This record gives sequence, structure tokens and C-alpha cells, in this order.
Amino acid sequence: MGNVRDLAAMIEADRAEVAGLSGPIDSSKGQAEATAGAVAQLGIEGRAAQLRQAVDRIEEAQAIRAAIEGVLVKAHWQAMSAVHGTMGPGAAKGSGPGGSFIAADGTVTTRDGRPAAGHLDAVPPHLRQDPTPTGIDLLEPPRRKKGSTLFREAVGKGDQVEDATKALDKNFDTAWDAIFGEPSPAKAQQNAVSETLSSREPVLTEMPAPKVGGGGAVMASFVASLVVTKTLQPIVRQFERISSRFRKAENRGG
Amino acid sequence: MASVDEVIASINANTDAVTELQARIEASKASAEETFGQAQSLGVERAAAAVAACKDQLEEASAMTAALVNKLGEARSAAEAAKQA
Repeated sequence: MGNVRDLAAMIEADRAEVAGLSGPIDSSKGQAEATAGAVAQLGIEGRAAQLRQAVDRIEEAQAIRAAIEGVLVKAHWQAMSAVHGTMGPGAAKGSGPGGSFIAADGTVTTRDGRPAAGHLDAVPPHLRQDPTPTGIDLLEPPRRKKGSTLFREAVGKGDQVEDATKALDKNFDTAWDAIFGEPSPAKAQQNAVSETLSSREPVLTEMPAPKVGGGGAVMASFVASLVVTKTLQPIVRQFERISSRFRKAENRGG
Repeated sequence: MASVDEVIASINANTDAVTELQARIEASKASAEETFGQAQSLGVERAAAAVAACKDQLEEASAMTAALVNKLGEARSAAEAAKQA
């Protein structure tokens, strides 16, 4: 099929030459337009009209040139299909050389569907033959995860929170010591001692203190302040209500 | 500003180029006919059919090239008429 390849090369060269004509034809059109404009400015309308006609003819010639280029592209495809068989989306099964068929997934098979000799399978068989997963299959793993896995993750996060709290307590104590020059309240509580008065020698008894971190102490005081605020709020409101009633009664009496 | 003579000369140059192109397309068509004969004699029907289609396209291109030459001739005539008016 050497001749067909030569023919395809000739057609391609012709197409390139047709494409190369686009510039000169456009140039002619531009020259004619400029001349027509200049002649119209001079007031010679008859000549300007003739030149505008020439511009129109050149435009039509440009359209014909584009059509010739398209026809030569089609001729080139025909020549190539004579070499390689029908190509493109319209290629029928068994149209390739030796009756082979190139499937959409890139596999080359013979007429009876077996892989053609000498061709590599673009997609491995286990991927080609396995059923395509449905939407439910794709959504299944996260659903399963929601129960036990999420619980395990939450437990893991709990450990992390505990570690972070311990680190915060340690840093809090160090920072308190650095800023105020004395042990933090938590440390002071840990080191607390009680003094007992008696006729005997003073006895120093070490009090076992619960291990409360600095962060815990801050949080405890914050919670306590909240409780106090919440407790006092209705009392203050009640007091305000009573005092406003007294004021109203005084105003009426006055 | 290009003169009318320059416009005519430009159109003539294009006409010459298209005429040469038509000759080349005719040569390609002759080659396609020869290849078609070879494919038929070898009994390669599928390739012969493809080459025949290719030959038809080249004939169409040749006819269109002739139309292009005519169209450029009309443009030249219009430009010459503008010169003489």
C-alpha cells in the first residue's frame, strides 16, 4: 500500500497549499477595500461601486478556498482509511487491518472477540471484566463506618483531649510560677499543710490533696462564677421589681 | 493607499497560484485513479472503495478550484471596470 501512502502525502501537500492561499487572497481583499474607500472619498462613486463589487467577488473566492480545503481534508482521510481501515467513531467491527477491531477501552480484538496477537491490552482484564460499581456500592463503606468506627475514633479523640489537658495543666503551673513568682493555686493546694494548735509541739500534718490541674482550677472557678451569677440573677430581678413598685406607689401618693 | 492597478496585479497573482494548485490536484487525482486500479487488480475491495471515495473528493476539489479561478476572474473584471470608468 505504498502508493496509497504517497497519495495521502500528495493530498496533504495540496491541502497545505490551499491553506497558504488564504493570506494572499485576504491581502487582495484588503487592498481592494482600501482603494474603494479612497475612491469614494474622492467622490468617484461609479469606480467605488465597481471596486466594492471586486471586494465581494474576492470574499466569495475566499469562501470557495475554505471549501476546497475541507474537501481535501476529507480526501486525505479517505486515503488514510484505505491504509488503516475505517477510522474514527464510525469504524465498524472488523474494519481494521487483518479484521481487527479497536474497542473504546483501547483493546484490540479479532472478529470473534479474542485479543488480537501483538497488541497490548490497554485495560487489565480484572478491570475490564469486573462489574461496574453502582452508586449504592460506592456509598456503602461510609455507612458502615458510621457505627463502630466513629465510636472508636471518638475514643481515640478522648485520649488526645486527656493528653492535651495534662500538657495544659503543666504549662499553666509553669507560667503561673514565672509570672507571679509563687506556685499556682493548684500546686499550692497540692502542697497545702494544716497547722494544729496544742500544748504539745506543733504537729505539721500533710493534707492529701486531690490532684487538680491549673486548667481544672480555672475551669472550676469559671463554673462557680456562672452558678453564682445564675443564682443571683432572679434575686436581683425580684429586688428591681419590688423597688419599681415602691417608686410607682410613691409617685401616685405624691 | 493601493492603486487599482495594484489590486488587479494582486488578483492576477492569486489566480496564477490557484491555477497551479488546480494542476497539482489533477496530478493527485491521476495518482488516485492509478492506485484505485492497482487495488482492484489485487482484489483489495475495502481499500479500493476507500481510494475511489478519495478520487471522488479530488474531482470535487478540482471542480471547486476551477470555480475559484472563475471567481477571481470576476473580481479582476470588476477592478478593471473600476479603472476604465
